[in-house]
Amino acid sequence: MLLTVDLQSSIPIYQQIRNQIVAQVAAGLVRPGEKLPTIRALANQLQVNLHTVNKAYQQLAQEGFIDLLGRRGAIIVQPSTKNLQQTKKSFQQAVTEAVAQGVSCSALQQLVIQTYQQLKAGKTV
Amino acid sequence: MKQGQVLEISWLLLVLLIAFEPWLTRKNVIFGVVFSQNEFWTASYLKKLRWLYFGLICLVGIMINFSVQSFGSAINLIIIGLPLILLLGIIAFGVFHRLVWRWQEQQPTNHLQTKKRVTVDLKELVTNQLSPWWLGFLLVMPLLAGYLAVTNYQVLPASLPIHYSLNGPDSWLPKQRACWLILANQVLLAVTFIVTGYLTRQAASVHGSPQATPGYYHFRRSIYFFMIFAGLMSQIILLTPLLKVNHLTTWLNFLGLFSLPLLIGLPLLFFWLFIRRKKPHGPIIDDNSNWIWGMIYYNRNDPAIFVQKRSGLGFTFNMAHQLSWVYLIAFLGLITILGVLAN
Repeated sequence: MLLTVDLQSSIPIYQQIRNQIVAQVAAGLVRPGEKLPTIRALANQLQVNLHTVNKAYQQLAQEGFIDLLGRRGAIIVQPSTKNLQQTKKSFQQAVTEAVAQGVSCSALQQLVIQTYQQLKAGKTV
Repeated sequence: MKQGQVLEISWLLLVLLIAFEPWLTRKNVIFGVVFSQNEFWTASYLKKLRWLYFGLICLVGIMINFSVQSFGSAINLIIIGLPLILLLGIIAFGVFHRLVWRWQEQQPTNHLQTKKRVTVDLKELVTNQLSPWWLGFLLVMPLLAGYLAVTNYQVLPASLPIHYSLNGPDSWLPKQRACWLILANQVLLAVTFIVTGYLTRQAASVHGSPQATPGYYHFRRSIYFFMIFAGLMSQIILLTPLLKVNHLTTWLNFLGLFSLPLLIGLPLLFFWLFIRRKKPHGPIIDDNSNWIWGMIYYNRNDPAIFVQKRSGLGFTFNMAHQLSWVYLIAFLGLITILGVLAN
């Protein structure tokens, strides 16, 4: 399970960490019950601030992807629908932006199906 | 063996250790400059530089040996020769570092080096996490020393040896003071090895991809448990005056003979097995500018205070942090105080 951080990207590092872990969960590359490294170990390895990794983990915990284990790191949790409302909102926002940019309904449908199939095939997007 | 011979052998080993420094490193790090391809290790120019450094240190080592001894006893090798050879080693390493860096910049094939991306294998990181609780073993001996000092106090001789030369004990103290000294030393050793062991859990100093530091986790785990072993060995040696052991000197000589090669040899063996033998490859972060002379680490963006040395053997301070200076001054202060007390 590789995690790559672009140190010069315009996307904040904590967001990159969060997005990649979510993508790996979606693609089934990490399964519920698997552990994530401690905040300190990951920050040291990436040479980034502790708060950056902490922020990513906090966000993942709030969104229901992981449980924080304190000094022992974190653990991937069973998927649940308790955050579905938040996911729906994010999805609606993404669709709104796509429509505003002139993306057609069929193109959107195709994109959703393609992404879903890619994730089910164990590939991150 | 006479003291002079011991000093000369120690001097020879020290000079060889400094002379072999360019080899005591990962194959993708040459004089503190990191390369993305280990093929650079065999480049003829870099080979020449390594042997030039080796020759220079050996030559100066021999010159110091002869000149110091012609002016006085062999002890001068340590008092005058040691600072001289260490200083020369640092200056020469810095100069060779600049030469390698300049050479690297002229190489067109260093394309795998990147300034932007760092990749981490999360599973590897999780499975190789080292629990600091293992260091708790180092507290056993101070507790045992306290217990023995109390229970054996009546049967211990009136004075206890506190220092040994090759011919046996050469310094004694009344048993009450000796017991306190042994206890204090046990605690000091425990703290030293706990701190050092804790620091060996640092991330590798070459970043970019997991393939850039192959064998690193095995090496780190080996060194971590070695530190606990070395701490326990040292504590056992210090504990012996409190035990009712007959032929104490023989027992200590045996322990010394047995432990010294292990304490020096094992880290080098681990280094060769897990670091030196491996072939690093893949992209790396180009952070050569963070390493002054390839030795001193200065990076404001790195939150770590202690970092692994560029070579992969040992650790150093991140001098960009104020706390590093505090630790460094405190450490030097402690050494000075101990030196004064010892005299």
